[in-house]
Amino acid sequence: MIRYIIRRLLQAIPTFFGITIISYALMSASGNPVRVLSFRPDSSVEEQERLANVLGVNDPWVIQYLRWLLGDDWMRWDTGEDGVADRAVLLPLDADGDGENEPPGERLGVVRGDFGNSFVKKRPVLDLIFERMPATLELSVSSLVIGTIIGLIIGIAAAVNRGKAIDNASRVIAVVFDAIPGFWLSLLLLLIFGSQLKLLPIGDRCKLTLDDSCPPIYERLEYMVLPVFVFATGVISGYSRLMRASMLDVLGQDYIRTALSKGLSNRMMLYRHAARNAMIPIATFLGPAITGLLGGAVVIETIFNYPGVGRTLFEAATSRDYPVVMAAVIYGALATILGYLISDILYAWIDPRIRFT
Amino acid sequence: MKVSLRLVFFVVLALAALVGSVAAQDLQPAEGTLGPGEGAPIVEPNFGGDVATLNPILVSDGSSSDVVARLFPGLIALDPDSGLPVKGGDGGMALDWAVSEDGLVYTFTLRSDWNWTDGNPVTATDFKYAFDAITSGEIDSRISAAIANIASVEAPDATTLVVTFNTPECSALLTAQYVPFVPSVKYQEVYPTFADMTADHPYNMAPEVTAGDFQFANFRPGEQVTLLANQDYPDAQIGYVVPEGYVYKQVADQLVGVEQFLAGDVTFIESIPDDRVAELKALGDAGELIYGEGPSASWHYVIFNTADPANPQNGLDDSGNPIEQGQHPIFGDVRVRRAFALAVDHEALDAGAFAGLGTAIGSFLLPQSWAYNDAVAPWPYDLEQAAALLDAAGFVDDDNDPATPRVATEDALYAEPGTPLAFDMTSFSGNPTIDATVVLMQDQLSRVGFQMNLDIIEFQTMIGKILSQNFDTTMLFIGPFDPNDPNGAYELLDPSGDIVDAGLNIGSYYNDEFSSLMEEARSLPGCDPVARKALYDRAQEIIREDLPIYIVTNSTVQYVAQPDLLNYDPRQSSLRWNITMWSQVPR
Repeated sequence: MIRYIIRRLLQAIPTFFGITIISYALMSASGNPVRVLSFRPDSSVEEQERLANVLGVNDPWVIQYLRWLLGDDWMRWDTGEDGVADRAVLLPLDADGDGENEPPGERLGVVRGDFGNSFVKKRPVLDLIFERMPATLELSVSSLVIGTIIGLIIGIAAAVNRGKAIDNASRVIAVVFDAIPGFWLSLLLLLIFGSQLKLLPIGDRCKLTLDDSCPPIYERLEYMVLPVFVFATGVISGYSRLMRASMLDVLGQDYIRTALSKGLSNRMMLYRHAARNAMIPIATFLGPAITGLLGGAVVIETIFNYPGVGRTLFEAATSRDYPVVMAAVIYGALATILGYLISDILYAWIDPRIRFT
Repeated sequence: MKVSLRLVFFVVLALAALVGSVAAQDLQPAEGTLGPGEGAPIVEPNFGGDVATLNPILVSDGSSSDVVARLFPGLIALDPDSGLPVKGGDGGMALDWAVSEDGLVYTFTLRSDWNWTDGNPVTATDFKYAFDAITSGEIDSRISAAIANIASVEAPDATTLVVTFNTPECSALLTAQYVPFVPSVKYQEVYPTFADMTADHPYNMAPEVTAGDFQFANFRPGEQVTLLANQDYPDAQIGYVVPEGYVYKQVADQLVGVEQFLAGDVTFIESIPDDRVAELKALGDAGELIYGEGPSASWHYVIFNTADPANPQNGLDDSGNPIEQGQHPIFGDVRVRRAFALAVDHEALDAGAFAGLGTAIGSFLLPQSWAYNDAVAPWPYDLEQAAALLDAAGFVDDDNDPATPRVATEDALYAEPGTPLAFDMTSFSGNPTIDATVVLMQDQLSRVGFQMNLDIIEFQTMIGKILSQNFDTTMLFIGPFDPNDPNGAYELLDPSGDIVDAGLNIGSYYNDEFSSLMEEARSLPGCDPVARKALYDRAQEIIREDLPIYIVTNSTVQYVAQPDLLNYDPRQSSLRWNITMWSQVPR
């Protein structure tokens, strides 16, 4: 098992770098951030050039990517210890053409844990991501757990009651949950349960206080109800349909009929044999489910005013804050790769016939 | 969602609104006003991004400016109604000032009764420290460009400040107001050198020493900045600060912000979205909330690219001489621009896009400005005259089909014969007002033979496109402008701002007389308001006739507050001028 996990993790490395290369290339193609960052009347051309040099956005995107990935302390360095670079590879010593060499590079790159500073917030990117991560995790993990449980229960119930009202209802629910756009459902629920019925808060993560932190989750569950529900709709829809199809497939197997003919109770057959075997394909849905949750976080966190990574990503993307966007991409990529890995491990755990090779 | 291009002067307005933006008032609190710190915290929604810094030297965004304004003193008090400087006004450090005969040296006499929260007095040294830091070249401060005309600052003693300008400037006081007072003793301890004042220094987000009506308590990223009442603040209108605190609460969506206000979670909203105005006004009329309107310091406007969009060039060379940059095939001809303006039915536009709250103006100055020229009338709606102008400009209706655009004849100044009168209107998605405006305008212009193609793109992408000057027309919402500084909007029409990929004169307008008038009015010896107004009057006439930009509307701004908020009294130039006495019973 451990060898399998290690091998899978090693296999994930090229996937991870592939994602970062494509993301960086797409992001760079979306325009020069200096135009956006300095769009104001008192911004001089000199200042913009200086800013572009500081941010390194005038370099070819491959160089920018390498700087982001591996840092630039090896691209331009100082051997004379006078604070001015005297050796360089890939980068010119005098980038701004003022006749003086630039200072040595100080970036270490993400492989050495340096994600740089936000172009907009001017703060370390990792700080921005880490301080927002708990909010996203509490929503996405809750949604995943709740959505999975409800989805599986609905799927089993639908399969066992095939063709009956509960089955039809489950299919309608699945289609509706799948079809309704998250932003629309979010706004609708906010207006109904928050504004009209006043049963739940209108967005936010916790009650407004003058303190410097939110109370523990169990003291603010009411703030999580609506966003978790919206997040969970996609999971419920996916799992209920998969579980129903899988259960129907298993229930039609010979060994189930054999078990029943030998006098095994329905309950025992369903939960001991059918459900467990039906779970095998279900495990493969975990990876896509995590990806879907991260994608949904961008919209849902924004509407529910939830201070998570998704909202940060939205703000960063609209302000061309490349370092933050890339950090969020890495966060998403790692979560997705991890999700798929867990899927595969679960797959083998549920089905003893599968061996890690 | 109202997307605002609050790029021009947000820093100056915010810094001007530093605690020192309040003039002395003879105030009587409403009956029921609570005691010191007994009022509910003031909760203001922040529809912008997270606060980036609470160091006033480094501030560069609107969100940070709003909070910094509550924490640090300003040099000069401004009258909340007129926005004009007031000697010795509440909240300003300057008791008095004198100007040298050449208009270059301003000597301020400062008060001595204002202390930082660590007990040290606020002195002239604190101002000089900030100036030295900003101009040191060692830190990244956007204020440096705004105060480029300040040659030096001296602090001969604690209560005397000498500010010397390079050239005379009639808005010198406002320029000096850019420089904040900071606790120099604490700053020297936290930042041993100016180079240590980096943007990511942790102290920037946790200031321990301030002197405003509120003091910093905590920052919850993505959620709120919390300040607590500073009962040692010397200029609280009724002797103490009523609200327990001030919370700058981040709200990512305006719809959610309005709903939170209606639920009582937010104390007030400074500018409500257009699509909620009617509803909130009705609630205001019913007494369920406080509703008010005021003149907006912003406008929606169309920019015509007058230069060749296929070959964008800067306006001036390194020596300041104009660079030939060709003409836009359609909008290079002023008659076509005028026909555009005449074909816009402002009344219909106002009803359809601005909820009837817009005001047509012909000037590039705000109607509430002292320099506004009443004689400069808005362009009327006159299709016949528009058609005649297009005919004269060589664009004719060759097929009598109103569904097709006019085409250029040999008489057209810059367009090849046969060129259709078609152009792109570049705008951004997500702003219902602008969306409605451009769609209505498209229909209106088609009646006279324009074919306006909508080029609606993501906001930041649009910024990149229009700065590169390869657009035909664009529509923006810009402001706020300071009505007391008529040169504020000059940045949009200044030839030196015609810089590809950088400047704000993206339409490449150039008129020597106009530029001379604006420069002369800016630095007229003696700064006689009557003489300056005459110069501005003529400048407004020129822009009205040249029409490099078409002001679509100067709308009003609508604000709301909770019905039980006592002493809430917005004035034309300041909504929060008496925030220390706002009183609401905690819920």
